[in-house]
Amino acid sequence: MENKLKETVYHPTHADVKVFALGNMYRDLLLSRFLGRQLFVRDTLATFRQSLLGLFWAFIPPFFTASVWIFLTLFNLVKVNNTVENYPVFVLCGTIMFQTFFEALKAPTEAVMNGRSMMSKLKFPREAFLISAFYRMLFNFLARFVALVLLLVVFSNSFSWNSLLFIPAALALILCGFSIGVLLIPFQMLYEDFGRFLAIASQVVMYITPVVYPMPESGRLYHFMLWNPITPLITVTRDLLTGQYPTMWPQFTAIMLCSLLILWIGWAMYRITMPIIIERIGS
Amino acid sequence: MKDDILIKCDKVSKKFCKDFKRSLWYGFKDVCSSFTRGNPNPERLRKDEFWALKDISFELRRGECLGLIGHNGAGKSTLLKMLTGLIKPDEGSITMRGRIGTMIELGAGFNPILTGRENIYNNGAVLGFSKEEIDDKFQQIVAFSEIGEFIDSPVQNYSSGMKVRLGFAVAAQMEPDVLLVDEVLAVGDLGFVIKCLNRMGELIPNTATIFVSHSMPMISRICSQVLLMDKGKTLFHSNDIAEGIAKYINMFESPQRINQGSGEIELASIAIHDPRTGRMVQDDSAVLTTYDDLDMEVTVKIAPSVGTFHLFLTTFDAQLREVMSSGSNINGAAFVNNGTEVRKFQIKIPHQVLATAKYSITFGATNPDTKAFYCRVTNSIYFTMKAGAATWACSVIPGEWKEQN
Repeated sequence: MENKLKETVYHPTHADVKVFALGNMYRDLLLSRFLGRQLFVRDTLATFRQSLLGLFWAFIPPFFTASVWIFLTLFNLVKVNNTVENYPVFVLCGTIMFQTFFEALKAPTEAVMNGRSMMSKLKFPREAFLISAFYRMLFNFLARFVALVLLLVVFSNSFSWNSLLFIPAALALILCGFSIGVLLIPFQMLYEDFGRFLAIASQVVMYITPVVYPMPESGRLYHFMLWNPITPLITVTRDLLTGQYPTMWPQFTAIMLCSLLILWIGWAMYRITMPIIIERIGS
Repeated sequence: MKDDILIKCDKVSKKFCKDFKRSLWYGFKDVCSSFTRGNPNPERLRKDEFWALKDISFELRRGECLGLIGHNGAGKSTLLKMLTGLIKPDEGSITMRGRIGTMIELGAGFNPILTGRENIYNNGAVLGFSKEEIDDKFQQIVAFSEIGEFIDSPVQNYSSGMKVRLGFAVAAQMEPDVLLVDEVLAVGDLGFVIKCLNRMGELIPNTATIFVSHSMPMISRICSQVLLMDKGKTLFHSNDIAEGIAKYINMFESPQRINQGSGEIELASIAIHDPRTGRMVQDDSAVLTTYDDLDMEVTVKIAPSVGTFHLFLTTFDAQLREVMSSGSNINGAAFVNNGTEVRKFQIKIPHQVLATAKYSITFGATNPDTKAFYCRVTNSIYFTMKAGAATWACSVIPGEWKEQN
């Protein structure tokens, strides 16, 4: 019986190739499923229990941003290129996707930061935080999606079953933000600068991405947006939802593949660097 | 027998950085280089770094319990963190075998808003239980915690003791091969501490346990060996627990005198007879052996306002346990103030049987009627006992040991 005991050795050598082994990563992911779900349920329950409006807060921020823009264009305070058929739906979809993307970007670090004191005292599969963050993203997105579809049906009648293709595209968008978020975890945990920078960047990036206005036809801005990796994410998902042909799907696919690679690297890095981080800021 | 070793620490060292900003920068560099070669020369200290732990080695088998003692900041918790695998050693290696259970933070994963019932699942999940396991053990957990009807109240309404109870009740369900315990029984009432100690007593025979505590009674009760740490190094490691505890206690500086009371009687001088030299000593150097008399001379100044008074003395060990008490009130009449300001008294407390340790004497004078203190001088003088055998008991009495024919 003694020989069956699992042996763990801790020694100073740093990363080796093993940390990239997808098999090990997958195994730990499975191990942390229950904890990840439990953390998600815990945080969600706690949020709702101390809130009157509950779920409302999951989808109100993008709706709010969108309504500001609808208001601005309605009274011609801001002139948006007229190629857009149904501007309210257009802008709503854009802001929802954009905010979902940035939330996905921030979610992994937030989850790990919240569990920081726990993580610096107890050993458990640290993938649990990633799982709980991902669940939270899905949950928030689901709430917004339902609201969005309802509005779509009521206001534009442009909803068709083809629009459901939007769901996998949106999941891909979440995954993309999430992957970058995972890669940033160690840096954001060490220095607050990264988080602050992200907060500012999210505001700036919104205006250099076709979120509240359509992609320009030509010009310098057009070329810039063409190279902006968030552009295809937003436009493809929006095109799919509103039943248009997603012209940027090749870029979208390329970005998706890149983000899978980023996720792999980021995840492996998360696994290696957590002891270093805990050592520096643990408590 | 070698297979039985569950924890093996081999020359484990760890360095920390004193400066936070620099520490973060080193961390940033380590993160960036974690993919490449790692730290190029780990044995070198970078600027502002120091060895938080240096060359700690020990082995622990199933059924053994190692008491880890030392000052705050001696490196005990750092060592535990490395044993848990939270942080990596900078030198040496740690080998752990079997399932590892920790009682380092009780109630980890609790959310204050959620109920005790919900939090049992949160805490259990963090400790590595599956949902089914928690379902199975749920009734036991609730029963052990003695939370009763409050199990459906939010945890933020619990007292700190209740939270610890619930946390321990969940942690107590673990059946680990290696158990790491860090000063978790400090809260909670006496009844619960006893319950916890019993549960640990059940676990220990089947586990290799490391127990960190500042409570020497607990160390001496639970552990089979002690490791005394100081500034990251092993100062003493042995199966002789009493010796280890004595060394630990002697590391602390003796506290200074504290004067209390109305001041109508003042302690002018106090001296102890040292049997080795036959002289009275006024410093703390007197050493007594078993059955020696504690022979003292005390000079006091008495104010005219004092009518009658009793003198008393109590003896404390380094753990602040009151181990011996004597006073003129026990079998004598009160002293009467005869107008002489400075008076000298001789005190003899025969046949000392205190255990090996350094003891502090509190000397004082009281008003026989009101019991108020005219004076009370804590740590007025120290003396050292050397008993025949080392033990954690308060007193050591040789006794007569004979076989009956």
